[in-house]
Amino acid sequence: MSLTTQFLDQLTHQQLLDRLDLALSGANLGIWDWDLRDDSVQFDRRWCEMLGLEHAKTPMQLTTWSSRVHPEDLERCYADIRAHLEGRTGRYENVHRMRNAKGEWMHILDRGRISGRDEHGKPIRFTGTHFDLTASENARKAIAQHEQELVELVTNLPSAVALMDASLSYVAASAQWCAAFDLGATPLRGQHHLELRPDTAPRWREIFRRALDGERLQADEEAFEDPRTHQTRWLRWSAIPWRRASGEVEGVLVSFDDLSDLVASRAAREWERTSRLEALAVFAGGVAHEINSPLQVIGIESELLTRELGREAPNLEELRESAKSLSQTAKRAMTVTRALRTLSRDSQTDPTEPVPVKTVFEHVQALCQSRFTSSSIDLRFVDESGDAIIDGRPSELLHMLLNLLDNAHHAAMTGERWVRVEAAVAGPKVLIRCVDGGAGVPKEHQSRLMSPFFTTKPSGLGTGLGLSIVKSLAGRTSGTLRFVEGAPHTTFELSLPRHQTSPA
Amino acid sequence: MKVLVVDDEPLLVRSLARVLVREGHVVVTAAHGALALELLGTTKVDIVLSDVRMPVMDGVEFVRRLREVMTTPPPVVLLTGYADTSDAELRAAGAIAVLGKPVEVGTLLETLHRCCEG
Repeated sequence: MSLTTQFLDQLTHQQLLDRLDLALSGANLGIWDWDLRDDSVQFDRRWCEMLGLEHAKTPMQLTTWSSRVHPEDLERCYADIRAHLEGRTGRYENVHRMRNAKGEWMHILDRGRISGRDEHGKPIRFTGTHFDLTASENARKAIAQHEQELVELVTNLPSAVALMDASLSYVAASAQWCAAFDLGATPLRGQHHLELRPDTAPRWREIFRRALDGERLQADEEAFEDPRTHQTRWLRWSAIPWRRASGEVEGVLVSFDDLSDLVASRAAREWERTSRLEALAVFAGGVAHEINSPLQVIGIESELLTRELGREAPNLEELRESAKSLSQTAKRAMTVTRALRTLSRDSQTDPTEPVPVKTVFEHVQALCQSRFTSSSIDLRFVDESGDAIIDGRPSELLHMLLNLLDNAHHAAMTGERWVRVEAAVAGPKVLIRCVDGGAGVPKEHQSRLMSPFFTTKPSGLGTGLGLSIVKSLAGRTSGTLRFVEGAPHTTFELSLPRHQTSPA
Repeated sequence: MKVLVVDDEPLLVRSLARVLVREGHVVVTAAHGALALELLGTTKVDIVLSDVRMPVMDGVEFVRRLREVMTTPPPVVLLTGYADTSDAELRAAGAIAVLGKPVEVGTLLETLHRCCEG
């Protein structure tokens, strides 16, 4: 018999409870002292208060406890008690639910020990404590549930998202995250990111580390190199510290969206738009002329009309002259503004439509003629296509020809001063050739002609995007652009799909 | 008075000629500067109304050459649709007046009269 047991044995119940109460004051503990001979139990004031019971009115008997234990837990309690009383355990310990005075379930950590035996060594006294776990139990449950929700949320987000703990072991990750890091369908929880992907970019490591240090980070568009494919991916990402309620950083929540496709298509659009506006700017001066001259004619003729009509006997011949002149001029001005409107249109998302070669040539001439005229370059249109119709987008067709003519203009400035635009039909294709009297393309340049940024023009006179844009625009409607090797003069040939009129 | 109209746009030349004839003037025409110079070798005019941007020989070159080849060249009024050469430059080249296209008929006639008398 241990010293403690001997000591306890010498105390009366009340003495024992008083002393323990003193020792344990402040702790969240209630004390019970069970006389195994008659199942009377002394519960201390604290024990009663924990359950919301009034100490003075509480029956000091076993049923006060057992009647409040959750029926599902009671059997387990007795089993644990028996195990201790029969000497199979060093002490009794059990967590069970108890109903308090308000009818709510509390979680109790129950611990006890034999505190007295009779002369035969049979246990007669059993003493222990009740510790209220309810608060911490509720907190634990809330955290577990919260964490479960978080895992659920992260796993199902339509972005690449991962929740990692402070050691960068996974708590959860979305399907897109797993795909992006090529992590397969392995259950991730608890696996260390850097062990799964030791090749993770230094930039990601830095982001993880800084978020773990409590920093919130994000970027709208940042280039990352995929360590396996070495491709550049444009990511919008954010990394935030994952904090407990206490404020302590528990881990890191990282998410990103891959914008690469978006960025690429946006760049292509910007590229084309820039080139189109560039063409517009190059020909804009000429366009002003093309509009101003008709306006001048309209001004003069309307004045003549007014004067003629103001006379007593207007000369019909004069009136007819003016009317004819006005109508011709208006038509010309309209062609110019139509061509301008066509070129300004951002038609990338438009469906293709039947566009007569004649219309394309008219528009090109409306925008170009005066530029060539003022440089004393003879610009001729030779349409041998027999009213052929192209399947395309008016703005793209115009854009392509203006780019070709811009090059031809530059070439003709340093050679013979003529440029010819020809159209012909070849099976299901319409061929449009742009031929210039320039000095020709040196052999060593021919293979690079259509690469972006290749240019022989002086700086400031061209970005070198012209031909590569024409090529990509032609490709959009399954057309092609080629440099005709061996032709007597520099010749670029566009092969475009011909519109097939449905058989009658 | 006798006016030489120099412009490469037939429609505009015709309209200009019509309005001048209606005012009682005599009109001769040329499609660009070189043709105008040639014509002035044989024909005497009181004033020239010329476009600036033309093929073969533009208005600026025409005015310069005119002053080189003739001792008493007729006054030249330039009609320009562009902003890329300043009026001052055009005057410096030898133009007596510069008009922006499009110009009011009244202003055009008044300018021609003034320049012819001056």
